[in-house]
Amino acid sequence: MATAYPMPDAPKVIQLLGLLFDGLDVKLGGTFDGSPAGGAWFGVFVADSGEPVALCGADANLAANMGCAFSMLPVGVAKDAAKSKELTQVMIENVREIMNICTRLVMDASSPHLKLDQIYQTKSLPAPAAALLGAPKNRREFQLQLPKYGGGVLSIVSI
Amino acid sequence: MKILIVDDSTAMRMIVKKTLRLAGFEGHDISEVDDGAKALASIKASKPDLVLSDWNMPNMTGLQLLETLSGEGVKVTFGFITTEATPDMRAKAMGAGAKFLISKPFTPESFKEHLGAHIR
Repeated sequence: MATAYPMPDAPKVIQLLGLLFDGLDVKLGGTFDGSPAGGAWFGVFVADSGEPVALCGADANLAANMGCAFSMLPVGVAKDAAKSKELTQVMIENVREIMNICTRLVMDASSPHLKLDQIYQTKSLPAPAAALLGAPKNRREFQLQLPKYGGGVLSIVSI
Repeated sequence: MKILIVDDSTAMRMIVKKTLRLAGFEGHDISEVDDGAKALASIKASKPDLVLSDWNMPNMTGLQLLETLSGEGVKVTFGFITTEATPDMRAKAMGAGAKFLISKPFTPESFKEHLGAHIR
């Protein structure tokens, strides 16, 4: 069944996020740890009604690597953050910026309007977003690799 | 040419700069600010040749910025790069003097199409 919010393919992910990260490699697939202890970060995308309609998740490794690479923080900072599953305030703000751009991964010319509401770690997701994460209609994972920093898994879910 | 990018999103400013390069518009003096009020001050001080502005921004929207510039008689080539482009927005933009309105998601090709006539 067709979805109102299109699931991206790997070329679309690389076309969009490649504008932020030179040399980005993207492959379809991967195992995403969305457990409360996993340390993943989610952008919660909401419709005009305020209802969450899609989530974009970055696992702990990807959030750390993208959060550092976005403003060229040292690679060691990313490795420490991935290990501790804790991001600095600058990295959190960077992940928010990236998630705002990622709204475009689930948009096309005919899809309904959505916008980034906020970003959360799994353990802090509001109940409606957690419910969507637990039972999405559509779900797709991608393995991303950022030159110099490393990789991680991106997960997109939608109603 | 001096080009000013106005957007409250750091990531979007990066994308606009990268897309300009991918569209072949290289070698220009590009600066950026993150809201309309800062843009107003920057335009008066540095007199850019082209302003690429978001629509929704804190402090002063892109439309308010353009209307203020027009009201003060500041001459600059001004266009919008914005997420949504309803007919009403397009009408308001053009009525205020915008030369173009590019809606996101944009591509190097859409940049070439809209900016080719304005970037030398």
